Amino acid sequence: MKFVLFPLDPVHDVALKMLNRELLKRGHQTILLPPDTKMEEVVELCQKENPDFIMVSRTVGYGAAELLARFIDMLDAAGLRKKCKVVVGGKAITKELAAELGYDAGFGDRTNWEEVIAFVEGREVQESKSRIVKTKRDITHGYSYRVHDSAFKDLLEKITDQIIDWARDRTSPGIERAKMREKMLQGEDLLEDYLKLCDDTVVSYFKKNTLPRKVRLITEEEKKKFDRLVRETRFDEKILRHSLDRPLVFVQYGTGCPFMDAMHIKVSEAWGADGVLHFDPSWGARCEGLLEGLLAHEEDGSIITFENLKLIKSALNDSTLWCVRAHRGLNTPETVLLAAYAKADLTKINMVYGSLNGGTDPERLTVDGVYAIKLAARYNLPYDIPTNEELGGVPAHKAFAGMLVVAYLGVKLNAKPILKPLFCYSPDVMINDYMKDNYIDYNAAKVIALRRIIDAPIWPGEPIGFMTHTEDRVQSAMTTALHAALASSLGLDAITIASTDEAYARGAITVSARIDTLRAIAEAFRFFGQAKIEPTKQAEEFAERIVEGVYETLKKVAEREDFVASMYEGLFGTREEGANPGRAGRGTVRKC
Amino acid sequence: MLSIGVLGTAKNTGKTTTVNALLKCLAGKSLAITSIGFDGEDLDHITGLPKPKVVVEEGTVVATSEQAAKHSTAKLQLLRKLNITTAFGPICLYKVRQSGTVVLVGPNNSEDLLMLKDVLKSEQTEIFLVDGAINRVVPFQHVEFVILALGASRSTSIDVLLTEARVIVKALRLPLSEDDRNVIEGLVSQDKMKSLRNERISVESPMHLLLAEDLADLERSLDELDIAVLRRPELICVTINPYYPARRMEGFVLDHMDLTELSRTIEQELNVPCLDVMKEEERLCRILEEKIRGLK
Repeated sequence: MKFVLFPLDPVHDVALKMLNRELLKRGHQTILLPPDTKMEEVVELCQKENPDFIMVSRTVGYGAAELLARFIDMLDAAGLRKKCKVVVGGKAITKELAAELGYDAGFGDRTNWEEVIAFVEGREVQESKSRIVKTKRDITHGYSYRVHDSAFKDLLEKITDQIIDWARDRTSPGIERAKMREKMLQGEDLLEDYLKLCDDTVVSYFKKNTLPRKVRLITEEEKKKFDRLVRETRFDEKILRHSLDRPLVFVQYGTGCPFMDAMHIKVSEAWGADGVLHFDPSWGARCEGLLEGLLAHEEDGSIITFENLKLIKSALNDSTLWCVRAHRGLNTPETVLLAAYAKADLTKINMVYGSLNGGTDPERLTVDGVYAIKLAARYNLPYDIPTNEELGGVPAHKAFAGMLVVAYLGVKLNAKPILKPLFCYSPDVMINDYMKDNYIDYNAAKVIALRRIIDAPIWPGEPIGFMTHTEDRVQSAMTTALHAALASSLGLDAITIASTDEAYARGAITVSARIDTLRAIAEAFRFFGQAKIEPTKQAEEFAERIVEGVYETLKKVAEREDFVASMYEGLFGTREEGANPGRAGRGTVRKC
Repeated sequence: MLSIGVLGTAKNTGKTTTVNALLKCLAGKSLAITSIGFDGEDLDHITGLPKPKVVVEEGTVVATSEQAAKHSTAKLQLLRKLNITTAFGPICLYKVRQSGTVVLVGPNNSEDLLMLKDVLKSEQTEIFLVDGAINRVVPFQHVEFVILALGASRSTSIDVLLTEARVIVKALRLPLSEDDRNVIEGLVSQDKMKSLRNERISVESPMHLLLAEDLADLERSLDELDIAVLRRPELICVTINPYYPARRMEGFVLDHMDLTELSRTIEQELNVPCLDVMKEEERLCRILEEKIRGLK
């Protein structure tokens, strides 16, 4: 077929040149005119050449429509209108505008070549074909969990054997509640017994209808409105990663209100997020027992109740991965159980971080953690292990030693752990001046080190760039995007991101701030694509030091022959380094 | 069958408002309606401002595409499918069974409009209304009457609007051609016209001339040359729309300017009735009635 390509524009003709390339590739004959050709000349040329198609491009501003209409009228007056098809393309061109202008077809900004080619070659344009269909991914797929070095393996074996052995004849109110909760979820009425193991806040809620401070019940009417809103909210799916296969992008939510959370989730999904993390309030972690019902509260993090979780689940897209955090508090096993029953995809457990930075007693959280990992294994919930103790200043190698113990314990108990090193300018880095002239080397070193030790999925947390962020929204989106690019460059499996106002949000996190970050990441992924960020040689040196440090730490813990005591005694980080053994639940572990 | 086209000089000059007024004036007659583009959408495709909708009464024949018909609130009964294609699929003929709004996507070129006219003759249509699109004029070479919709959206300069009106009126009043003229088919460029200074020429229609880039230049040619046309519609009246989309920080907003002086000048100097249909609908109806009576 024969085409005349006419840029009806004083300057721009890039799109037409690209179209010309595609048409030539398919064996069509084309005449590509330069920009700023007079319409009269084009009409004359078309009279001579008799093309099958005249393809006109034009950026639409006010006045352009009149120009396009005049051109079509000129073709009509010249008797060409029925002899050739006339197609208009350009930013802001829509099918409706093309019809209004009297063109045979119009293609706008997000058109792909296939659509235009299909149209001119007379094939049915498959609009639905270009729609993205997302599916859920298993982050742990393809990993062997093999420990590469037998020296490391021996140490991890020894430590985890000791933990399992130690935990065998111990229990806690948290574990007992989880056992009861499981029966309650299956229909048994055990509330009286359950409340015997709960703090006053929970007991008075159930017995006297007293709500904890700043908490309120969500009404039935509000719930109905919400259900309708979720039903009516539909977005076209987007993928953030351009040509990349990984990392999956997770967004953490926890506004205090499950409705607001759901809307944040819908917006994040619409802008391409692959997964979301349920962020619980920290006071919930220090209270024995969980509340029930649809509850909202005024502070950071959303209350863990089965009803709240089910409501969030109802709002999620089928493809969205959902992680419910259970890693640090007195309700760890019960939270994993609720996550499983609410059909979460992932959970989060790390008793070292939870004990040394989360405020829970090491002995208590170890007993609860072992049971929680067993539940995660039983319900097939992979769990990620954040090393956020680094945020207190604990050196990476000590935080990693704890993480590797929790990971290896999981492997032994048939669960699927995910390693979660911190990706930011952490206190450890600042104190030791590790990243002097770039923010890449030490973060890259962490990944190199972990990969030397074990074959496991890596999902840097949490969120990436945290502590590198300032109160400036552009800076915050930019650092997140760069850390995301580093993660993709290193072939990592997933990342968690914050919103641009998270570093300074003095109220609820805004939806526009979430979009900022997601857009910034999409642009970073597009910018780098399959290209890579290259760390300096320093990264290798750091990695070696981290591997050595992890080994030294594990060795000391193995020699101590008591995991719990190792935490109290500072083997996973001293008080000076910022690791403070928590007190919540102290003295509640008993032999059984 | 009498065909009446409403042509504008730009977007938002008041074509749809005029068409709606015509539909009211002609209620009770056997009517058919179409558009040479796309009309009846909720919002303007460029400015995003709300637009008037075309309202049709029971019994009216509507020529629009199947896809567009689905977006109409009027109840439409399919009469038949026509061999005329558009960006929104083939055109069909519908009969309005219950009045309401209609989205019009019609034949977008002269030949197709002519074909539709032929089809409608067999439907015993008395009056066929053709809504214009943007500033398109050429398909109107095939209608008997036109109404010219002028508006501030074309320009906020009275001088510009007046010059444009004057040239269009002059072109529409060119004499019909006798046999002995040198006929120029198709598009007539300014260069070509200038080269024919001393000849008695004839062009296909005034619309073929109105595509000139520079209307002042065209006016000089119309004054100086001996031009006739093979066919042309008769101008019934001019309508004016003082409202226009003005660009502001927050996007387009509706603004307006006083066009009474323009209106008076058009009536006095060009000797054409000129009216604001929002205020003078009855006068439009009277003009139309006289015109139709005069033909009988």
